Amino acid sequence: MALSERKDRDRSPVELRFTRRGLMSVLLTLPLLAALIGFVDQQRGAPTFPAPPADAPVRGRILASDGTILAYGPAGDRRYPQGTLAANLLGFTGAVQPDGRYGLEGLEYSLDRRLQNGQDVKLTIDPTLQAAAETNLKRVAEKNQAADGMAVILEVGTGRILAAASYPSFDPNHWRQASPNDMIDRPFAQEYEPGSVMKPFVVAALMQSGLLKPNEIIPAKMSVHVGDKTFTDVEWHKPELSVADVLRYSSNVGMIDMTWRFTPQQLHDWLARYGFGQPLDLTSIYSTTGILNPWQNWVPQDQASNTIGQNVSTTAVQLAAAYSILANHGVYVPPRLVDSATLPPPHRVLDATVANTVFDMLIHVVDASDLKYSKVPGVSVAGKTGTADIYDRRLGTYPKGEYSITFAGVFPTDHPKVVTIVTLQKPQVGSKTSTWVAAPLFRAIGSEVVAHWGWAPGSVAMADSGH
Amino acid sequence: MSALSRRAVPVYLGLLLALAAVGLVNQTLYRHQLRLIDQRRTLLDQVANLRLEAAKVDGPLAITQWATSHGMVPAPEAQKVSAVAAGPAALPQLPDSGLEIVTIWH
Repeated sequence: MALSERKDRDRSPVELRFTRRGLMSVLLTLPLLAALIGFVDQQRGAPTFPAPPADAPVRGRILASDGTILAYGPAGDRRYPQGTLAANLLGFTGAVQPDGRYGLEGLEYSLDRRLQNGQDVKLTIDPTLQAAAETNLKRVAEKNQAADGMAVILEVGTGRILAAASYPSFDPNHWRQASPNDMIDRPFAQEYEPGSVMKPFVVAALMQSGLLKPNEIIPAKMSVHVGDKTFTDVEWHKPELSVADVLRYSSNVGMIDMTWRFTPQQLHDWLARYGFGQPLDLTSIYSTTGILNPWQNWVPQDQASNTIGQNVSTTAVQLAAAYSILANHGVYVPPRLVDSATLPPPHRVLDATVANTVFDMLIHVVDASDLKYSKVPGVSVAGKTGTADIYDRRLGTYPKGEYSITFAGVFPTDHPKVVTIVTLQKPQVGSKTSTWVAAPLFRAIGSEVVAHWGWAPGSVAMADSGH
Repeated sequence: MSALSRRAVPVYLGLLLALAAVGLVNQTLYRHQLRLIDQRRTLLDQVANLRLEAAKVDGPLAITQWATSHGMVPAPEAQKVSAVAAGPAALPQLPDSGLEIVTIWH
């Protein structure tokens, strides 16, 4: 008798039934488990079935005005096919932030919600002009070893920003290798004291207020004391100047003589009306307001400084928008960066006659002064230079030899199409004046703009190139 | 074992066999899908890199830099302009067809 039979015989019937059931269960369960292995990912140990790949949410693209793709792809794998082009403007994406955004800088940050909803964003930026602005800005900034710089091209009448270049820049495809200083979107985010480019606005405000006639003669010695400060003129001139020549010689003394016709509040309010110290109506990108100190805190030297563009700060885009008032017969058109953005309607700041008169004075500034290096061949230019001391917040003073140099220009003057602002900060090598550095940069960018329009060079275009 | 159980076991085992076969197909498809996902990622990377490479040749920045490095200047800066736009193209010399039509008006 087999041993197992003997064991079975010794067991009770109930015990025997349970043992058989257990054996059957094992026999039936094991193949079931073996069959189910086919539905398990052996690497992850989790159940799996072929399924559509779970992509990251589709993030909208950022396009230039001509449809050139500037940014595309999901937030976790964002690509910038044009490399460094408009990088400071575009910004970049990264890991999701506590507020749910993927964009970390620039438009990627400010338009994050719209982009994450899968909507494309079309900018007003013209890639050719953006490239021209960036290339020339970089060339001149490197040549003069400037700390940083910016250039803006704004379309008169529409407020469309055609180019907004920053120096230094970076490649958003490799943003981790860039320093925070390289990433600043300077035309919108960097505020600086603009210097003499502010003067035309004070002249226009005085004329609009009926406090100045365009044909007046203004006493203008070479220096003037206001409070504990002495303001001097750089370029020698006669002791009396026409209003247009006050601008032409960029006479600080002449401007300060005129500014006392305003109360501090009047001057303050006029500067605010041009948009200085005020938020830009751009809804699409982070921008700073610049600083216009409350007039109640002004001492006389503050009013004098504000008149010549010191003690007041602006961004390049604000400045471009303000110049477009003069080019646009007195009407302020809010700058536009995103094609479909809803912006406030344009509004009148100056009478057309006042704006046109000051605009003519700016043509005189370029034609009569030593600003041939700003003249785009074949095209008449209205413009103004600005060389300003740079305030060092750390030191609490204006260090000697550190300047912000700007040229603000509009062309062509018969039918103004664009305002161009160029600014370099702290050039270290060569000339440190706007006439010799910013004006040629303006001309270089201006020539690219005219070439882009396809205007054939006429006889005037054969003018000496100046460099 | 009851008669019902005796009939159920082969059915059960048959179903298990079918399940195992479906599992095998599932695994094969799943691996294929993983390979495709990898492939897709690689191809997207390639497209992105090629777009970048293309922009280095025909992007607005590349064109501007290339033109500058080759001594080109924007049109308004041109010192001498010999031809701004090409003149009308010369009419091609048509071959003699050998046919001549004469129209006479009355």
